[in-house]
Amino acid sequence: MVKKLLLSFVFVVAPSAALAAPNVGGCGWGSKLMDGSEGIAPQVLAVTTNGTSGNQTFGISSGTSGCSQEGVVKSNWQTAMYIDSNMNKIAKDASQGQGESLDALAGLLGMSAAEKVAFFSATKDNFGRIFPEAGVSSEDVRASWKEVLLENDQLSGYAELI
Amino acid sequence: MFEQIVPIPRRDLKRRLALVRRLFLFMQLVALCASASAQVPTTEYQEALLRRAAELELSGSPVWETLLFYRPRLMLPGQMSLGDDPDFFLSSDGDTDPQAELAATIASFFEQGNEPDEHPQCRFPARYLWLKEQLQFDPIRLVERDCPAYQEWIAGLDPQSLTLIFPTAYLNNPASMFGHTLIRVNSSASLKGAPLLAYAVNYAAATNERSGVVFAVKGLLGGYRGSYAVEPYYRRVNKYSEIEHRDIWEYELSLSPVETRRALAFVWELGHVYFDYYFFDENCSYYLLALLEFARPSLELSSAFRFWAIPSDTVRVINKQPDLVEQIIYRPAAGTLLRAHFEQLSESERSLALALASGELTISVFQSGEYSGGTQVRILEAAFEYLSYQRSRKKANTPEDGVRAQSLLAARSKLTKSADWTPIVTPTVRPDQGHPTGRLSVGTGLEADRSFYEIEFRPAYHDLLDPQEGYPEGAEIAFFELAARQGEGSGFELERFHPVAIRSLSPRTGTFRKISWELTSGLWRERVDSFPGELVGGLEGGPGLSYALFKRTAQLYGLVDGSVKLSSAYDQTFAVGGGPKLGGLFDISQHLRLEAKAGVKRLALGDTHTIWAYGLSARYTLSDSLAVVAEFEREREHAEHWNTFQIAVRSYF
Repeated sequence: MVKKLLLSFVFVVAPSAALAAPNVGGCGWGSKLMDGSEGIAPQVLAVTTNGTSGNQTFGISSGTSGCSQEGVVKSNWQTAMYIDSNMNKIAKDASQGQGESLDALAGLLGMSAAEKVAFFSATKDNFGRIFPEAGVSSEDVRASWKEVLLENDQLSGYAELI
Repeated sequence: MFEQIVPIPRRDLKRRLALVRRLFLFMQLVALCASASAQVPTTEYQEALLRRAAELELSGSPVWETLLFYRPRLMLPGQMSLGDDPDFFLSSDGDTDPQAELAATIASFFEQGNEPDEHPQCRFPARYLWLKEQLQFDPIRLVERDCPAYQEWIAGLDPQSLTLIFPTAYLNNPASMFGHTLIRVNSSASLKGAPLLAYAVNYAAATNERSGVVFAVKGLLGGYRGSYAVEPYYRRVNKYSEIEHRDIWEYELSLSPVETRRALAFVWELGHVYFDYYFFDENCSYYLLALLEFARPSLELSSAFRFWAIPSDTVRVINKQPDLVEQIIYRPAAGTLLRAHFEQLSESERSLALALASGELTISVFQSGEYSGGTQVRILEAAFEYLSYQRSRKKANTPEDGVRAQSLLAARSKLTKSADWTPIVTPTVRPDQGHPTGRLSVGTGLEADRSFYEIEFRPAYHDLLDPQEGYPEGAEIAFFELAARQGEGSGFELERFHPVAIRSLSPRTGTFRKISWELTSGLWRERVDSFPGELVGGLEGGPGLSYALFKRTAQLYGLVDGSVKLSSAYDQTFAVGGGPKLGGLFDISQHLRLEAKAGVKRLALGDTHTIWAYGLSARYTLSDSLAVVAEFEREREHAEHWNTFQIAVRSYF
């Protein structure tokens, strides 16, 4: 059975928004911290096995495919996309140890209230490791975050999800 | 097909059965071939369904009207669908014949041999859902098809409830006062305190157009196709809140999971076809109402929007429905938060924040300054917010700016205190609570020594003498303002017509410095030779500055306007020139606002003349939908000087 790369979103471009470059696959969403753009927008990926009616389709990705390194699915697709699309806001919240964007990430990972508390403080304490410089890619951010989580007894289980 | 079973002798049974099977197969083949030539053979069950549908008068039902967007035709009798895509209709007469469309829809559900997801049941899940409910489809006689893509989509959305999302105006753009509406689909995950993780359904014109003017013109005339987009809500928030700096109001609706799924079935149906997008009437808000009307058929929302649908008016109507809106949440834009935080800093703290944001002050020097932990935190956070704001306006996008932004956050992360910002106050009056956007004024006055009556009609939107609550400061826009005057001994004559008139008076502060501007277009009367005057057509406008005083109860402005006018009464038919204008708006009380103005225009090319005017207006608010305005103006145009007094009652609807 062909693994379906589930549909992404129709990206409706308003006159003020910039057009996104095509997603080159893997987890390379392409967003960089503080680089002034809003990240790679998922463009129309009309990839369905049988095609649907109409020439423009829209859909949600509920799957975990589409993000692999050397064939191994390393992260949850939704989490990768969320981090990539919200890097600057997440970094800002991380620097404060609180905030809606960071909280939503914790929710996406499935953390309990107590785990969130630990997550926020571990993230803030390790801000410099997770977001070391402007221009760091979202992949590297996630990789560093994984290390930080692994070092934390309470949160190590989430390392593979981020 | 074969309802009756005729008892036959056992000996012949096998042979008969074989014959029947072959016959059946043959008939299926015939049916397939027939369907290939676009003729769906009617079955008995299908006919029974059609009869039942006729008994129930389903093709005349408001729900069928909602699903197909049937509207009474303007000139001719009968109905016409707003659908523009041929794929939206299953009958060739579907756009004007609800009965034919209904019959074709029911027939299409019996189709065989389609690819999964291509079957009409899968392309039109809303119609299928409703007709199944009304006609109680028998799953044996009408096979229910699997729709894998649709099911996967619904599973991914996990729809539990809907929230109406209303991003409002942004600064210095009065046209954005119209706002926009979209729907957020809340899932079990997002309802656990993470609305950012929900999905947003947005209807908009599909275009890459960058020119605002081209976009406006084509959008008004239906030059674009509208389509639905589904994306994570956080992407919408980023766009509205971080980039456009628009506050967002979220209206949580009481729709149940079942009702929510109905709305989404309709979105799926509509998502695969296009509609011509019309900025005024067939726009984001209009289609959104249809989704809600299908979700909960007892709602009647779109009938109020026959000719135009202004987003804020649609929000008003939704909010007025009993038991529909459960809670309203205010989500301030990044720019709004920034302003609120800056107001909580002292003058010197503000300077430090700005210096850190620009790089004039380095973080290390700042940190050696021995400010208390709490102060440092606030200044660092405010500096980052300001820098982000500048970056969103493309004013600080060098790599050094990026480096500085990261450093500000890194420095902040090492401090343990919280900034303890005073939480932002939700505005007491929401945009949907402001005065209704249509306005009719009736007044009387005296111009020089001649009395007159005046009637004015303005379909949209708001001017600075209208009651201000719920509207952004300093923003004024009028569409198709039409006024007629009746003088002594004459009938009503056109006094003015403004297709568009805009004023944007953005008060400048030390930190936030915007240019104010205004633009007026259309026809108006000028006293060229004599009363009542001649009609002049023109375009006037220009930039300026504005300042707020006395805790924002007063706003002063100065503008320099250019003027281009045409009139058959002019020498050489045209006049070009310009001049300055000064004014002030004063809120004496919650009900009383005054405006004082003085200006001069020197038209130096074409018909040379000078126009000067000064005056005072006062508006007193009587109720949500009534105000009275008194105006005095002394003018000189061409040769004459005179005074005009006028008092008018403005009613809003």
